[in-house]
Amino acid sequence: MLENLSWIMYGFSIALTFKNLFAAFLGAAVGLFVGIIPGLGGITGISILLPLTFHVHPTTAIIFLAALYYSTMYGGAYSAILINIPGDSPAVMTAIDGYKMTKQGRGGKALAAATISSFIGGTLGILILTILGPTLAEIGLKFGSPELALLVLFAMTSIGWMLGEDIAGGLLATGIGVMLATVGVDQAVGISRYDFGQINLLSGISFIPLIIGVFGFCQVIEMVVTPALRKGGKTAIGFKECSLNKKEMKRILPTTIRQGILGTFIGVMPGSGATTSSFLSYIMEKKINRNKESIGEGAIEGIAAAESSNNAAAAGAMAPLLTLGISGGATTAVLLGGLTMWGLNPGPMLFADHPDFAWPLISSMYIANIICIVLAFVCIPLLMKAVSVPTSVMAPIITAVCVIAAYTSGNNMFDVYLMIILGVFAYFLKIANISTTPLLLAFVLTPMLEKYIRQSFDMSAGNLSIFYRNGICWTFILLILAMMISPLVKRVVATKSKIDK
Amino acid sequence: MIYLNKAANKVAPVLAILVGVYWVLGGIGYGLWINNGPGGGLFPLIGGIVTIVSATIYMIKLVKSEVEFNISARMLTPILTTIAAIIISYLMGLILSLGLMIVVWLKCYEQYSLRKSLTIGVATSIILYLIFVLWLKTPLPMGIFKKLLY
Repeated sequence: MLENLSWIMYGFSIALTFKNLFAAFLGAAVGLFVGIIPGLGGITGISILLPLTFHVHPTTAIIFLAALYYSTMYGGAYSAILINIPGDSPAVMTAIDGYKMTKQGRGGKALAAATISSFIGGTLGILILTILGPTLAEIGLKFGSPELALLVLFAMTSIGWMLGEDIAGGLLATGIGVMLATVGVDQAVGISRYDFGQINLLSGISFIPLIIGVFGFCQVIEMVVTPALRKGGKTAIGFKECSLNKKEMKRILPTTIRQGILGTFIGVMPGSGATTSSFLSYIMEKKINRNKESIGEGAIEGIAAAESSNNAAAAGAMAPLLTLGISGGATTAVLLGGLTMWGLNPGPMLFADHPDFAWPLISSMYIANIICIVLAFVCIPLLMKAVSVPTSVMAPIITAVCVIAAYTSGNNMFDVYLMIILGVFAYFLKIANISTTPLLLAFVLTPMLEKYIRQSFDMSAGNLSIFYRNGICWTFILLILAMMISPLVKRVVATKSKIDK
Repeated sequence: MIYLNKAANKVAPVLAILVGVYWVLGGIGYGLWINNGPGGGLFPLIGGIVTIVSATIYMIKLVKSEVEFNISARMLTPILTTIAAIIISYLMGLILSLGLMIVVWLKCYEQYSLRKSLTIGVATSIILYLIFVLWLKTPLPMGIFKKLLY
């Protein structure tokens, strides 16, 4: 612990040099911008800018890329809150409460809640990474395919918590999500499923056209159809409207701390990542938060849960990357490629062989987090000006952004047509009063569940006992059972108390 | 206001039932259990069954409640203009066709002045060009300009 403290101080002494500080600033600024643009995320930003880093020292390069990776998490929330188009998949849950707050004229508060929660969650994640990095990575390694399958199954059963009274509608959306997720070549047996003869569907439906269609294009149709939404409102952009007061800070603080810790642990697990963590955290808060009734209707707690968790997960994902050389997701895989190209071998010896690289990177993450929050608060009033633009002007502009963002996801027009079809279908779901959130959750989790279940059966030659092979498995089995039984128990208790009354 | 259909809120469940049936039949064809593990058809089958059952229950609920939703013909505006812009993009490139879409949308549908419509359309096109073409080097469709440039 004390040794880590002295190393982190050493890291700060390198990270705080002008060159590295500038790299962190540049990475944070570019990442914030990339995150705001719908359809682009950390992976796009890092992939595009990775070649530029070969001309600088590896430490400066990784500081730049880590700051960029990190700040895209901040930026992704802004377009979700302001125009209901999540910049990246981890921001999907932020859009639920964020956009509702914008419609209620509280967009500034929503942006402030997202920024502060991102900062707290991110800082917690880095702090846990500093103290427990190698231990965390070891824990992450204990999660094999059966454990991960049960974790994903746990996340899927928790959809039930989001359904509320409308169970049939929620299950309908979940079923559609599962179906959409099964399009494309089945990796295990190599057959193509539901491709309708389209070569573009062989790799499945991309997440970007789906979220842009379901959130963005559907929103445009609603803007055009609903007269009440067509008037441009005056939006206050003063300090008071773009920050949180003491009472609001008290409301989000327990949420951000809870979900920051949870997010870090989920981020450490290979293959789960920031999207899963933000989904789980949101659902958890919807169940346990003191203000749970208003989550989903435009509550800062909903934003805080998702944002704190996805930023913490981004920090947590660095633990297996640096200490074991294992990437947990696509973005960290690109970072891993960068490390190898710079001649570094991430793994247990990285901290021993290259302390001048590893510790400045961790220190720079603290600095980048501070730069991100400062930059974000400078940007909030400017971003809020966009909300005061009349909807009649915003609708065609958002449509243009939807088209180009969907095209960019796969560089083909097929994704644009797909985005339109999914957007129209999402609008029909909306007018039938069916929430699309379970659809997105099922779409993200189903491929993971399918993959891990298959791998588990391959490992055990079809023996089911692999799913209860250790304590981690049993913990998840009990959690899943509790999750499935709790709505029934709740209903029985409610009916009983009604009869008693 | 012109309305297209009174029962628009029933479109999604009906569509879901039809797609669900297709998914179930397809799932059975792909195989449910192969080589000691789930086959390619197991998850589609589960998704299809969940969809059919829940959509049927939801449909019955909607019919019983007699709630109707009048869908406005206005919803066709963004769909048709976007499709038109995509078709035109094969001729004049994506950025220009989206700019044109904004101008036509604002002038014809929202009744803005030509000057204001042009300003917004051109400004958006320039911003999109700077971000996606100049900075991110996205290979966007360029239409006839590709032949002129190369």
